Amino acid sequence: MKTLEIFLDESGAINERKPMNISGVVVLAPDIDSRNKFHRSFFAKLVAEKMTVGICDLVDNQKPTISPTEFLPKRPQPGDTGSDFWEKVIHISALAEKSASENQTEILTFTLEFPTSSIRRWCAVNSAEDFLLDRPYGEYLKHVLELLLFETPRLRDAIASQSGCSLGIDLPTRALGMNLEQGLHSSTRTQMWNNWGVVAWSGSDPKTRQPQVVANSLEPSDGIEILSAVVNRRKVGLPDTVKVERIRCCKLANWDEWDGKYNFQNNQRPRQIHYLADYISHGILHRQVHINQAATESLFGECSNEPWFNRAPFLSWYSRGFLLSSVDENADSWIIAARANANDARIDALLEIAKICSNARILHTDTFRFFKQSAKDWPDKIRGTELRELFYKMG
Amino acid sequence: MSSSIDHTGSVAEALRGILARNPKVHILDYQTVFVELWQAGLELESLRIGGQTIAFQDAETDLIIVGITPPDQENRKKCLKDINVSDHLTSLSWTAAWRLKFPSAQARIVVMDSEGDHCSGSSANSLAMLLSARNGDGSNMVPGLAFLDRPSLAAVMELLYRPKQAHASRAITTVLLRNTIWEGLTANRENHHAISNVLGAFLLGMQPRDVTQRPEQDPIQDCLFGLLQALTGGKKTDPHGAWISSDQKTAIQGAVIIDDMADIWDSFLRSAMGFEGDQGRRLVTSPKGGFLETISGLPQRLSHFLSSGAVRLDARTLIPGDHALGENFVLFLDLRLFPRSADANPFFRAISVFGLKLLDSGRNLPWLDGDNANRKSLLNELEYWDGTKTSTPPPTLPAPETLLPRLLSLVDPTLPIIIFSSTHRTELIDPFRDYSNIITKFRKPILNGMTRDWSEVVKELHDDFVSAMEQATRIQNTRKLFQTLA
Repeated sequence: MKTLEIFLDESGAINERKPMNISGVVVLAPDIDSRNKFHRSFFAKLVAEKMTVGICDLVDNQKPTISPTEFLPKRPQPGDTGSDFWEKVIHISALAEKSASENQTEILTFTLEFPTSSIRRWCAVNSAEDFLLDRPYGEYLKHVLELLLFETPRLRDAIASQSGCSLGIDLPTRALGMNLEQGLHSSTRTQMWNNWGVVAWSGSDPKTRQPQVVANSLEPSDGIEILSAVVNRRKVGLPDTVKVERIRCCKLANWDEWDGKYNFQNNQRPRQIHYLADYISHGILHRQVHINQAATESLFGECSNEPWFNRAPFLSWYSRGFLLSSVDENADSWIIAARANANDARIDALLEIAKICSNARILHTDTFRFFKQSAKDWPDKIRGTELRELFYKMG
Repeated sequence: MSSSIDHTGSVAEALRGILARNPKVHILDYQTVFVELWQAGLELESLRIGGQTIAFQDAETDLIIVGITPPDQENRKKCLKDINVSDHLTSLSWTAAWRLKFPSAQARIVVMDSEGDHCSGSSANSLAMLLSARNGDGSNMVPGLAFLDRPSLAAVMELLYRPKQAHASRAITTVLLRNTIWEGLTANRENHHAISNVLGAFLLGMQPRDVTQRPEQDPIQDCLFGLLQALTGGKKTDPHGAWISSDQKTAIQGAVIIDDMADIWDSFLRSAMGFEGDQGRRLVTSPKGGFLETISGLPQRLSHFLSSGAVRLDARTLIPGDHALGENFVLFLDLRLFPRSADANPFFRAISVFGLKLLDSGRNLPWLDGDNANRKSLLNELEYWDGTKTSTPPPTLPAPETLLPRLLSLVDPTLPIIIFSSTHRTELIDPFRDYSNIITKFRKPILNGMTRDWSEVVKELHDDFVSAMEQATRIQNTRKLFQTLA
């Protein structure tokens, strides 16, 4: 039975009103044994090179390692050059690739960049709901899972494997913090949020140390609901041969943030490779790169010119996954169209695409190239009645 | 003075010698001045030929045209060679056209047949009778015009010295002349190469366009233009210029015409589609004189296309040649491609072989899905034409002329195909009902009698053409979408 593990993370915040992205890593192994060996091998290599990143489980419920003194920090440290830090990220990526190839396992990476809605003033309840429900993120999270399970050729093939497929999905937990309005006590705001049905508590902004009210927008128990929503979007869901091994939200606790205070009784421990998803999404967001450039350049910008960058496996990882943008490459239209086509609404799908294909620039984007892989077959399946309708509706 | 004039070659000269002292009498040999007469003689109210200026408005002017039939034209377009135009371009026709064009002109025109055997065509015969007819008072029924059949010199002199009538052309005369010419042009519709089948092209070709970009014309074609202009009042009707919008032009990009009379129609289509001045890059027809060869090789080219696995037909598969048109074009396809069934039957057999391969190819054939009966019916039809399985035709066999359009529609369901035929017969249109990329809205105009004003006909054709192009544009946009996804 093939195994498919998806590790997701996001970067950006809705209240910054800048494009966010959901990125991640997929581990695709021929069987469970190979997959477990991959995780152990990768972790062992990181330990040997003193480059572990944070708390993790070791796939077989061993206790987390104690906090090491040497590790790869979550973000560049004061005094680091960007190149130093990202060279280390590249290095652990290369270790992951090495472990994968030693265990007949493949790694894929993926990114979907998307816009966040503008924030309305806080006096309105619905704007608070927008924020608290983290709507843009929640929707795009489902989009990403849908794309991975149904539109990514390598993964689609694995899921359709006659020998069956084990599916594991690790989402990140997500907490939202909101600065308090002047003159408003944190307990008042917390109480207000609690009245809306949100479990909130008083906290502080990690950067400014300003008092905040904090609430989780994605908790460990949300996984099943998310996966159900994704599968139910498709007329033909997952095959019977797919066994869902887990769908959970994991707390990514980097060593440099680890102070022993996290309560892991209520939080799942992540796999070590989940931290790589965090680095990738962070790299996309903070390098201020244009996502429609070639994958190698867009992910790490000027670093792609560095000699050490050639060791990076990202080009092949992204070629197996996807690099999409809803900001300026119309990924939303494609997602709608792909879903419509899968649900036998082929005319809706083609009309949706017709709206965006008149823009010649779109035809040269990574988003277009990815979706075209499956869309190229759409015309071959069209029926006479559908084609007639399409002729009628095409302006 | 009593001997008849019996040598055509010298008649005009002889008459000129006799009448040389009268500067108001002009004698023209029809065969010699044929082209000038048709090209210039219907444009102006005075005509300068061979050093003579003929003032048609002068009541003292007499013009004698000697001879009836036009000269042989060696350089006629291939498509016009098979059409009998001689009967419609006689000196009688010119004279009648002149009268229609200039009803108030005061000159007298006498057509003289010195041999007596050139009015064999029905049109010329009818006009000769009309021009010979006299009123009760002995005056010519068609004022200012006369026809003399093998006249004696005395008869000529008598006519010339007969006092002229005041001859403002009467409405009844105009109607008679016009109907006589028109009936002659449109009487025969059965023959594929009857002139009636190309009249529409000539008339539409008269629609205004940039004359500087007008392609080179056959002189015969120009003469027919002149005749038709006179018949239709010489008015250029609205709508004119390109008949498609710039957006449609951008979407459609080009046109391929499969029609043995494409030479005649390309002028109109080029103008209507706004492709004038493109040096033929956007409108592709078979090479001059090569239509039969082009169409005969089509089944084999389609089979190659099928085996190549390509999805969309390109213009070179339909018409081989060094042209740049790719996959984006509208196909104008005539139904009657072969004047003789001896040529048609081998073609139907060959195209059926291709059709059977197509049915067996596993390609998505959207117009046949949903109902196996359609597929089975086509299979029976193809096997019948292929001749391999059955010798008796299935009871509801569609007309074989419809086979090629249907197979092209199946093999390339997003190619806009406009049936470019003059037929309105249901049995030739009905078989296309399920084939939604076949457009039957625009057809070559049928002109059978002057029952309607020409401008109305043009308006209707324009509307049908616009409607067909709107359909074609939507199909073409779908095609482009599929190309983008491919």
